[in-house]
Amino acid sequence: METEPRFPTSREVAEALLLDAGQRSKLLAYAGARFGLALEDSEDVLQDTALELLRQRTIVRNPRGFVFSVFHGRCCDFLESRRRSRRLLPNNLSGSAPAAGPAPDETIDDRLALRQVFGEVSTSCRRLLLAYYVEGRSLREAASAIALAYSGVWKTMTRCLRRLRRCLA
Amino acid sequence: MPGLMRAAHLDDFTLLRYTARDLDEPDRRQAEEHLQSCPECETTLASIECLDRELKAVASGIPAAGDLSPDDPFARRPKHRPPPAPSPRGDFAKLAAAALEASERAGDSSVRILAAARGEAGELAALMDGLALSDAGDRFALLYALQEAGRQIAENPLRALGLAQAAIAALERAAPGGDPNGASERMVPLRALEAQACLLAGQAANWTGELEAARKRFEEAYRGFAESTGDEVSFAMVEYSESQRRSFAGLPGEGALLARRAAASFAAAGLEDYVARSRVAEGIALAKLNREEEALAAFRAAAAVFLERQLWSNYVGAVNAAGACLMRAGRLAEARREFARALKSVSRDRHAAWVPYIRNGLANVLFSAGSYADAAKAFSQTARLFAELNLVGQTLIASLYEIESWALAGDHARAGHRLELFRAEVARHRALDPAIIGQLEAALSGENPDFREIANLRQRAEEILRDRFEKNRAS
Repeated sequence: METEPRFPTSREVAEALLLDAGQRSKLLAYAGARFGLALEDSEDVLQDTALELLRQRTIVRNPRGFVFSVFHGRCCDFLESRRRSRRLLPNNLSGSAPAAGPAPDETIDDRLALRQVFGEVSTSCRRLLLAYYVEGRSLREAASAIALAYSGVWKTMTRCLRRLRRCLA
Repeated sequence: MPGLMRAAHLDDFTLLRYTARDLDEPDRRQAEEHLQSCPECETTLASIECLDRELKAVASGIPAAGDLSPDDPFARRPKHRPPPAPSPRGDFAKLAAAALEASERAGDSSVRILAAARGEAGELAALMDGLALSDAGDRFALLYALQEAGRQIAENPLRALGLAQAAIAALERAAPGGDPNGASERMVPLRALEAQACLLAGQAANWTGELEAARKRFEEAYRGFAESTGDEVSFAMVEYSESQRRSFAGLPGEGALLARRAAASFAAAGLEDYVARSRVAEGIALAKLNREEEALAAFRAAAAVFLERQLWSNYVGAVNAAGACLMRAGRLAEARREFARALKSVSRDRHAAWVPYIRNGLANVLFSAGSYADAAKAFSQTARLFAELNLVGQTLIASLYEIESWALAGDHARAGHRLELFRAEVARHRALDPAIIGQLEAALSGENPDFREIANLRQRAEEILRDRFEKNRAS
């Protein structure tokens, strides 16, 4: 018999979120500050978050971390789907506010530039980025797989990320 | 961790790890505190998040290290394609409160569905017919029942398959999905229920070895979640199950990749139990790739989590997998210590269901090490413990090993005596063709038993017993 200690389920975490106006306000503020989402959009994302939590009955050991993670993922999902809809529709037909980010062509140019730089960064950096972004490893796991001291990985990655950011700037 | 606050500001890699929720709790707190008081790092963080999104988009165009072909439905996680949201979307508090109330009502109903799945097929069909799938409460009930059946799948895979099939049939009758903007559809889309049922059907097919059927179900589940909820945990569950299927199907490289992808999502959500389960799936794949050392590390890491969280069935599985790895590598002393440590971790009384599986592992090590008399005693003890749990198949298999061990130890009299007891038990349960027992008796007879023949017969009998008693357990 499984005798797991009592932790809340994702559904119970959703219940707590719905009762905790303070936590909801913090999440809405986070979506605004970090992703530039309008309050109305943030509330939609929060609603999707609550529904996602209610749909699962997974045992959760770190409720606040779990809620944050689902909310963060939903914010990214929201931005991505907004970008997709902008790509499919001209701006004036997309039904949403004018874009706060780059136009689609700029995004594509950015990606082409990134692709090019991606091919030029150091082998260690490329291996780590591929392990994280393509193979789905965690960054910690990806870094430990590189045959460099951890401080070496640190320096290489920081240099490489700076270069990639410059490419997007 | 080196470098987090060596300088006045957080470096780029730390910020990427912060974005990826890859930092340990103390480091994360330290980074958060710094970010609150440092506008410069806040700006760099926004830039890193932007880079992160772009790299994800770039990565979606890069094949995954050649392990998955670009045409593979699992080459990358599908984009969430939700139906258009209503405009205006409505009041958050109202919909959420209604969803909460519906999910509360669903608790008892989901228990009834699971109970019906344990009963006669007619009972389940009648209950499914009575479900009002326009009602959010009934949708939550069915969703929870399907998820719970997935968690309990080891108990009875065929029963889980029956529930999945009944759910799929009920959903087909309920199609089309109704108003996409209706409250029930927004809380639990019918397409998500269908995906959950497909996931369960696939998991059951994995257990029964119907790997082609499992493949179709997992692909359907993957598409279904993309077209409905887009819940990351649901995608990761499908990837975890598909990872197991690919390893069983002889594609362990792909299995390892999917297990890692699932683990990354579970880790991001802080679901460490599922990270550990994915690590076991990855370990199985790595072992099949002959990367035993990495597999062993994966099994041991997972076992530590299961032990800490008292997830005993998972713990025993991970320990047995680690022990098997060590045995294949010929590291028998280490394997023996692995099982001995595990035995110390469990209580004979409180974990009676799991102790025999660990003892069985230990007995196998002794057998592999050529300590046949000790192995015989260990198998005898294992058989007795399995018998106390009424696990007939496992009891008889352990007894077979005991007979062979006594013979190899040169104690032919005891081997013969155990064979007589075995014969009686087999007859009582009508578990084996008596001809096999006759052949075993012949191979054991005389001063020089035919050990090769004994091993062949034991293997054949073991296959028959597993087949027969696993199937009985499942039907």
